[in-house]
Amino acid sequence: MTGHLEVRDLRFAYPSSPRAVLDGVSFRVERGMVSAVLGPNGSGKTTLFKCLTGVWKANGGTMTNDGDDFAALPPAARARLFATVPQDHVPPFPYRVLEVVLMGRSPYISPFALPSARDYAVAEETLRELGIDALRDRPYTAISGGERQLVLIARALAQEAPCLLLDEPTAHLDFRHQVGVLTTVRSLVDRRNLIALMTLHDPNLALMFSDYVVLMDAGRVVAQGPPRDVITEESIREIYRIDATIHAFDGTRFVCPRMRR
Amino acid sequence: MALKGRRVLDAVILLSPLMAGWAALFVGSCDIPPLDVLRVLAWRLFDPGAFGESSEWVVIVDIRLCRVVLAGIVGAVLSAGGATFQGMFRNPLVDPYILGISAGAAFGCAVAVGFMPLISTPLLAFACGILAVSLTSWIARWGDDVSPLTMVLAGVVVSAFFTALVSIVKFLVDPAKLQSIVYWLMGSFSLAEWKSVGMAAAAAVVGLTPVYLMRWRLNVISMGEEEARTMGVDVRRYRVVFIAASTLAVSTAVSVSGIIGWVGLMVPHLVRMVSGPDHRSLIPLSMAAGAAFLILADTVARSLTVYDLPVGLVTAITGAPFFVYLLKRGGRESWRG
Repeated sequence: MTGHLEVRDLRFAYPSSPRAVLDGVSFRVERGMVSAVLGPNGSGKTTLFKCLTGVWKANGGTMTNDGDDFAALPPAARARLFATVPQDHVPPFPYRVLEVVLMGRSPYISPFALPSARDYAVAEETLRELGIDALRDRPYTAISGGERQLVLIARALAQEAPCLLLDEPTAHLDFRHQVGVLTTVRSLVDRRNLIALMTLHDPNLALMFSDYVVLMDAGRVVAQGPPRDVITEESIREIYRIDATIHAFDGTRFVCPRMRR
Repeated sequence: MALKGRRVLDAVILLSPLMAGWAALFVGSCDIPPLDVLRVLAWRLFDPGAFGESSEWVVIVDIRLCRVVLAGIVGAVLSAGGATFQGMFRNPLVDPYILGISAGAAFGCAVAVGFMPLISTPLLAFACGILAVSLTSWIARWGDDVSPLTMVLAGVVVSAFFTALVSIVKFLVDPAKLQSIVYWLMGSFSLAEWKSVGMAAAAAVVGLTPVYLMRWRLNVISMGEEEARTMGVDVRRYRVVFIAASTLAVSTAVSVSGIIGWVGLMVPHLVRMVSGPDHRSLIPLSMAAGAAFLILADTVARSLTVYDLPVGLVTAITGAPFFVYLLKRGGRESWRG
């Protein structure tokens, strides 16, 4: 199956400030690809996601999925197109894990209805697919950060949307869970032929787990393409303002900052 | 297994208003032996003409039963309102009283009773209740995020403001009406009559039906406005409906029973401890538990001393320590957000 997500000349500024947070962002990603959005804090990565999901309304530019403009879709239809895995958060009430995953079904459930047997089936299936069905009845507030990230991914899968947005999925996770979560994302995208777009802070994780990198700085896309073409000593210096060396070993590349002593 | 035990508990909670109401029929300042209560009720059932005029019948049905039913309706409304506001504002520390709705509605009632007899009291109570909750959420909103404690403070400010307005009304009003305003403000069911039962019931049905039907959405909404939006739920629209519907029910309850605080705070928390936070069960169980709680509290209030104490005192005496408990527990339910 083919398909793509294309953003062209996307612009956004908060009503209260004249500074453009997104200053003409354009990129195109394909189905079946894990794409990483890299960039320093404040480069507009999170705002980009919020414009895609409709939390913010873009001031200009076009956004299309398989050629169809989705900027004007109502919330429920938008949520059937984009599922978001938010950054680690603590909800106010200790819902059970299954209840949290069920929330992903809301774009399919009318305001006056309750989740149906099919909604339950989908939710339980995603728990099984991610191998966390043992957590089913645990309070969501009492599980570990890595488990919670998997539950949020399960919730996003229950949304059955072709585009998966992950906002810093590795933030607050220890090394083992960083690798675990990204491996899961990788295999989900392969199996379900999704479009995955994730913001990352560590260029090494992007080199290891992504097929495509969109490099952002100050609300613009500085470079995009396969990771080994985009993540270079020059681009690292340009956007992070540090000196780094790219080491290649065994077919893998690493970014290693040069220590100043 | 655990689930099965929970189902049984849920059923007990759902039936608790009937049990509390039944028990409350036997208690009162007018000493009627329990057997006589049964005899009056049973005979009436089989022979509708009997006891039509008897004083026992009047005491049991028109005084006790009427009061029990009103307490049940008000308890259900306040608790469901508390659960709704807690979920919608994702804030375990709020209820209609803390958000200032009760004080706002009370001001509306006082104005209607004191100066504008032609305007329907519940209507003015509703208008002022909406004004109060809008003010509270506007004051508490600071940028994108609202801290739970800021919202509590905003509610305190709004309550103080409307309470002061009520005091002004008390000063200006005809002394003959003053007494009824003062007594009613303390929160009591002693003036219960079938007319007010009908009014409160109608508002409860109109207000709580949309809340009940949309209760599952409260789960999604409680995850926060942006997150709910990414799941296709436009929180701003739902907020209007939830606030209008629960405020209608609450302000009508205030107009028939005065200010009864803390019920809406305590009951949903107790239900969550037993049955979990899922609003699918939380809303109906809070209605039932709230009804039972207020029936019992009112029975205590009217039988503890020879005086008919306002039930608002009983709920405050249990509710204030409960609030302290919630504050101190803090992290567990992570109200810090």
